This record gives sequence, structure tokens and C-alpha cells, in this order.
Amino acid sequence: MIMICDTCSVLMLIRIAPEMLCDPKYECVTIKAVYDELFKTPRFKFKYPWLARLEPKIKTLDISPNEKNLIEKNLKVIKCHVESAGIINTITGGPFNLSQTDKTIVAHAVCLNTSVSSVDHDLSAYLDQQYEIKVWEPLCLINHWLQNDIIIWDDSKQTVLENWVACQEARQTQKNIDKFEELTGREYPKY
Amino acid sequence: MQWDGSAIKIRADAQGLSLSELARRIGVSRQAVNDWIGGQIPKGLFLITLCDILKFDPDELFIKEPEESVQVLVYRSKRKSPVNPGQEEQMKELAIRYKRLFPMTGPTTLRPTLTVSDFSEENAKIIATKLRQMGSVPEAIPLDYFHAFQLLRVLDIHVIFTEFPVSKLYAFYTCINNHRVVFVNIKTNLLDLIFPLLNETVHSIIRNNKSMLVEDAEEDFCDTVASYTQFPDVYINKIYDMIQTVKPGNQINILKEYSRNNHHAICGVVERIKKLDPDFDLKYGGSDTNLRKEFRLFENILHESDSVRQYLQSYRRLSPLFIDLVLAQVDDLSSRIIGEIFSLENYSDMESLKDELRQVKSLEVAAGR
Repeated sequence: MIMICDTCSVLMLIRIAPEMLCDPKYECVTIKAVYDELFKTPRFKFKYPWLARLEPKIKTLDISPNEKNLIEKNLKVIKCHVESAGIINTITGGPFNLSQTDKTIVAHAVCLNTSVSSVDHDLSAYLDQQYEIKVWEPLCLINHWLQNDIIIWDDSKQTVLENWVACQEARQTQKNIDKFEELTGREYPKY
Repeated sequence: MQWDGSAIKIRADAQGLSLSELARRIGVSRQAVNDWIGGQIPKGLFLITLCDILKFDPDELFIKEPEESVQVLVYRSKRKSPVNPGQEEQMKELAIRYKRLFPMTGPTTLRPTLTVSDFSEENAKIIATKLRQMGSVPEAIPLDYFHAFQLLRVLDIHVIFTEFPVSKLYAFYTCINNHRVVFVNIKTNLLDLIFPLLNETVHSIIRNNKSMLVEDAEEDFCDTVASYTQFPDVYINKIYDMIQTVKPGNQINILKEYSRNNHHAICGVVERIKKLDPDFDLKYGGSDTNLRKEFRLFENILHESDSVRQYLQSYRRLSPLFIDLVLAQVDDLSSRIIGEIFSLENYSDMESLKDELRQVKSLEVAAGR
């Protein structure tokens, strides 16, 4: 199982597992569009001052010319599909609000047959409803790594989780919180 | 866009592929393919396989309908160069990206704010006087950018600041779901901004949404109103009185000084002086170019500091209606969508702005606003 991590997912996880995009055992990759969103020159005071030191760890996927062509073709289909009247998010009853980066992530996931890690509701719903692609929230990935002894939980990692709460990162589902507490014996920080 | 599955059968026949075989290769039932031909949109997963097998360009399966709810008026760009249909289409696509923000519950038709009986010079002056009064512009001075945006707010016009895909175009008027919207190119030099902004304002208030076709006569009239709104006669007369007895070199210096102090280009004043004195002839192009270098791009005014709070306050000061619209929907917008709306490329910026918008909203809700 290979997982494309979107921007938010990378930001939430990279301090917990700095090697997540370098070491294949984490089964995580990311794409150039995500790298660009992370490192394009910011206009406002930077919210993630620790990110610069981790830049060498943000490796993006190598794409062959054939894959690139296919991804571009998929992206064109996805754009038409999302914008067509009649494609409705069955959860909200409205259209899918997807950005260009969201669509690019979908195009990569479909072409490369990967899963996706994200906290974006519309992106998750579109992948699930239209492509049957499972979307993992970051805490679910942490639980997966813990279960497979890929990471060992410690105080520094717990501090990052507390920082998620302080920064008002997206809430994780209760099922994953319960699993995390069971695996680590620690309390998940309260919002 | 509307799905049109009728091409599936034609293409499959042309490739000697039966619909049963097509269904088998995609991994769906024959009935599913029939449903697609009949008008049901395939799931994304199947659509991609379908396009791959039948070598479809997606444009062959999705019909672009004329977008009635978003209409753009893009006619001339810098120095009155005509805008070609391709550029107009690009601007329309830009406007469509914002459509989701504008509620369908607006007025059912767009009515002109001001009635224009004819495109005469006298009428232009009357409208210009009204606009200056509505924008609370002090008499005898040129209208500055702050008053220009104040005028748009009074006229119930939403203003969106973004980067345009077409260069040399400073502003354009759009009607989205019967809401008046003026887009402003953030890459515009402050010196060049006010006149096109006023021109688009005039278009927006004299139009309904029956047609966005514009003729030279209307465009010229909007230019005339914009000129009188930006420069009252008393200001032009004062400058003309000062320069008509001095040498051309000194004329340029005086014009430059007035232009610098009042934040406008020299050309706008010279064009008006030519109406008073058709023989007036002054080469000023180089001076305007030099003067432009002393002024900032509009985006630098919005991004004066690295404070997201200050950015939002600056934006809201100039475009309160649009920020109110975003605030009302902020909980439903992802950070990336907010990034697209505000032309932000860095995710940290998108997150910071979303946080700030939510904070402003919660404070205003708490205050009962």
C-alpha cells in the first residue's frame, strides 16, 4: 500500500516521522504540487518555522514520462468530471469543492494506484465516492506505523500531537483516537 | 458542463467494439454502459477507463454550456487595444472560479443603477458629478484609489483582487448570479489603476445582464465618465492655467508634480487639456514611464507587511462586500480553496488566512454582527 500524502498530511506527520518520504517502510510519497505549496515563498509570517530544516526530507515522487502523460490525461478527465453538473458529494448534497492541487492528487492516485492521506473532506469524499480510493487521516497512518513497529511512541512525538491541537489542525476521528490510546497507552490531547 | 454519453456508442462502433465487450473491459455491466449513453455520468474511476479505451478527449463527452450565470465584459486593454476572444474566455474562466461564492438567491435580474438616456458629453459630466458625490470625494481634487473603492462599495459592487491570466488588462466587470463584480489585477501599478476601475464601474451601473456585448460608443462614454469622475473640471482648469504660459520642459515638470502628489498618470490630464485646447501638444510618454517607477504595484499595498491580519484588514477596507461574502462561507471552504480565491500559493499562507477569517467570523458572531 503506497500512500500519497497531501500538504496538510505532510505537515502533520513529518515531525513525527521525518523519514516518512525517504524510507520505503513508511509507504508514503508526495508530489511536486504538494512540495510547491510547502515551499513557495510565503507572503505572511510563516506558520511552520520548523519546516525549513526538514526540507531535505520532503522528497517528491519520481514520475516517468509515460506516467506524466497519463497523469495529465487523467487530470483533464477529472476536471471535466468535477465541473459537470450532476456530480454531487453525497455527504453534503453539493458539488465537490476541489482545488487544482486536490485534482492533481486525484490524478496521481488514480494513475499510480495508490491510497491518499488527507484531512480535506471534499477530497476524501471525491476519492471514496468516485474512485473507491481509501483516504487515511494522519492519525490512522500513525496507528498503522505503531502496529507495524515502524515508529516507537515517545514524549517528543506526543508533543507534536499536542501541537496539532494548539494549531487547530483537523480533528481526527474517534475510532482512530481510541486505537491510538490503546496502542500507546497515552491519552490523545484534548481540543 | 453537461454530460453527453451519446458519443460512446458511435465511437465503440467505429472501433468495432460491441457495448458488451466495452462493458467487460471496463468492468461494469452492459446496463451500466447503456445508462451512460442514456445520460448518467459514470463514476470517475470508470470514466477514466472509458476515455482510455475509446481514446476520448473528455471535451467530447462533456458539453460546455454557455455560462449564463457568469458574464464578463472585457473589451479593451491597455492603450485601447482590443481584447481577443481567447483572452475574453480566459477572463471568463477566472470569473467562473468565484461563482461558488455568489449565492443564487440574488436579484432575479440586474437593473441599471443609473439610467443613461444618451452617451453625450453633458450626460457623462452629470453622471461623473453624481459618482463623485456618492464616493464622498472632496471637491476640486482627483479621485484617489481609496475613494474609488469607497464608491464601488456604495454602489454595491463586489471587488476581487487577483492576478489576471491576461497581461495589460487592469480591471474588468463581471456579472455573477446577478451580483455586480469588478475584478482588479493585483499586478497593476497604482498609477494605472483608478481610471480603468472607474471605467468598469460605469459599465456596471449602466448595464443590465441581457447582453455583455459592448460597442465603441458605450466604451467611449465610460471612458468620458471615468475621466470626469477622476478629474473634476476645476482641477484640470487649474493645471491648464498654470502651464499654458510656460515652456514645454516646465509644463512637464508641473504636470509631473501634480500627478505625483495626486497619484495619477500624466496622460489622463493631458487628454482633458486637449479638450480645452485642441492645439495643446506635449510629449509626456517618458515622464509617465518614469513616474510609474515611483509607485507600487497594487499587490504591494495589500501585502504591506507579513501580517495576515493587516492583509485582511487592508482587503476588507477596500472590498468589504467580498470579504463579508467569504466570511459567511469560510467554514465550508478548505484552505486550498481559500488559497485560490486570494491568489496565495504557499500552504502556510492559506492556513493563516483561513485561521484569521474564522477568528474574525467568530468575533463578529459573538458581537452579534
